[in-house]
Amino acid sequence: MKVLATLSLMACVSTAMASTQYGGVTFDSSVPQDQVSILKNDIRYLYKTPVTKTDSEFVSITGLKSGSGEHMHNWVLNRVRYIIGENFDLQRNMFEVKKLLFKFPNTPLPDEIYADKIEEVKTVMTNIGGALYLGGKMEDILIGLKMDNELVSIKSPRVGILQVGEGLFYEGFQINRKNKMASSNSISRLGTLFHEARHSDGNGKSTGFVHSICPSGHAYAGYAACEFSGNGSYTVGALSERHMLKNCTDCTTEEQTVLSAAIADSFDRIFSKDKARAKAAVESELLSLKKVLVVYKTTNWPDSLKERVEAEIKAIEAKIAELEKKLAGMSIKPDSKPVNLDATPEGSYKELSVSETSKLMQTSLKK
Amino acid sequence: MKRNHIIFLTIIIALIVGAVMINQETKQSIELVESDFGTSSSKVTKEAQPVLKTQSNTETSGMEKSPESPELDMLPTMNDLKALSEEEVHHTPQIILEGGRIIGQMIERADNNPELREETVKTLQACAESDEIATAIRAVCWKNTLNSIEKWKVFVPVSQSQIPERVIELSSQLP
Repeated sequence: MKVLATLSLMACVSTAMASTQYGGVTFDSSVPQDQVSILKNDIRYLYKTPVTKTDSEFVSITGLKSGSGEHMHNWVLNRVRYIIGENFDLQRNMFEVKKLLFKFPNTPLPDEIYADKIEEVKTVMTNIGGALYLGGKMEDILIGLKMDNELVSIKSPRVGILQVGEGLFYEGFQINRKNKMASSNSISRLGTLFHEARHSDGNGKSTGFVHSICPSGHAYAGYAACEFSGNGSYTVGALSERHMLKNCTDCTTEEQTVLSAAIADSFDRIFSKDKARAKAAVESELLSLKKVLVVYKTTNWPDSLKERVEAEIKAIEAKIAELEKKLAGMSIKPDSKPVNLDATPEGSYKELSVSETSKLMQTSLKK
Repeated sequence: MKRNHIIFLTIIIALIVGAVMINQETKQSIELVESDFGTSSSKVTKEAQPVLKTQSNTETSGMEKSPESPELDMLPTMNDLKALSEEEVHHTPQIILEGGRIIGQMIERADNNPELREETVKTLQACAESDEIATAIRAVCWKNTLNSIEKWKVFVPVSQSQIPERVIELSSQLP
């Protein structure tokens, strides 16, 4: 009888323990299996894809020691530990935890938190851990969340709980419509993951790197879909996609261009007074024009075009001179740092080392 | 009830700190378009066209049109973006991805057909110069205008192009 009771208890426990672990990330049983498979493939892609070209801005903004898969995986894992599904019952699984020794830091809340209308929507991805932390801090309640058989106290946005929805896998948002597992689709979804992971950072007014209202004149004016710092979620998402795209060896021209459009859309939401970035833009334009100039000077043009090409060469040379003059006047003073927010996380959390996270990934890869 | 209050707060904050969503109505209308056409091989373009066309027909006017470049009419405009809901713009809207796809397919066609290259560069340049087209798409166009001249060695005057600094700045940040 005792054996039967134990067996039935074990059966209950194993039903409750239906979560999946991969590369250090725990997928709650509310995440559909097909979504888990795709996300596991993405984590593997992140960790294993060889990195031959490093995007220096990505590494600098995220504070990574290298742009390798190992380091990127570590960065993500320190900010994303749990993934819950769209149908996760938040109300049923949320509870109040006795604070005991825990105390919320006496820091201000982000200015951007405000009430707005709520519509029925399809979620792509949400940093629910960051939202629960801020909600708890506002009410001075330590919130706990029950995911399968694990109870997690939300003591920091770094608790890393993301909610994924079918929007992330929706055909209309795929870069490659024929193969959900294509590299370009992994890069796009991982870009969203990096974007959401950034919401686990920050403290005081920068907690959660909350989005700002887009300024008037912008296509998204009036919506909380922009940022005024140079290191927020849209920046991190775009830079991560750019870094991974540079290292994609099987992305077609079409896929590269679709991803570039997504990257441009993210950068178009950033209003940072970063002088270094403005200078880099002039340098990039100069470089492009110089390349065009070389083509016009070295190509054997037909006689019918020669006169026009000569005129264009003179015009481009004049433009290059103008840009060089502009560049000379753009010297960046040593004290003119980019307008970035403090990314140091708030609350109580444990930072995992690269060797710890790599070990977790290696264990999953061996299975 | 504090618990409900926190859930309410959480939803509000989640909407602000990174909820990335698509509108249910949009999805339904797109699904409707998909079922209208059926075949999977032509799904990509056909799915994109009606969505963009509907918006362009009502919102776009005065854009410089080239009979050789129907792609220009299919690209998302600033007005198309302004018509989207907050949920739809939280992450890259689908019409921006479709715009990128149209440009990418145009470049691939010119890669394979040299006779299309000069016209393609001109179209890319016209896209970059158009004040009506979405800024992110103009940046992609400008980047590819300069890249294509170098790659295909075609002559298209670019020195007098009217490209705003914002578009140049964005294009400089593309891979």
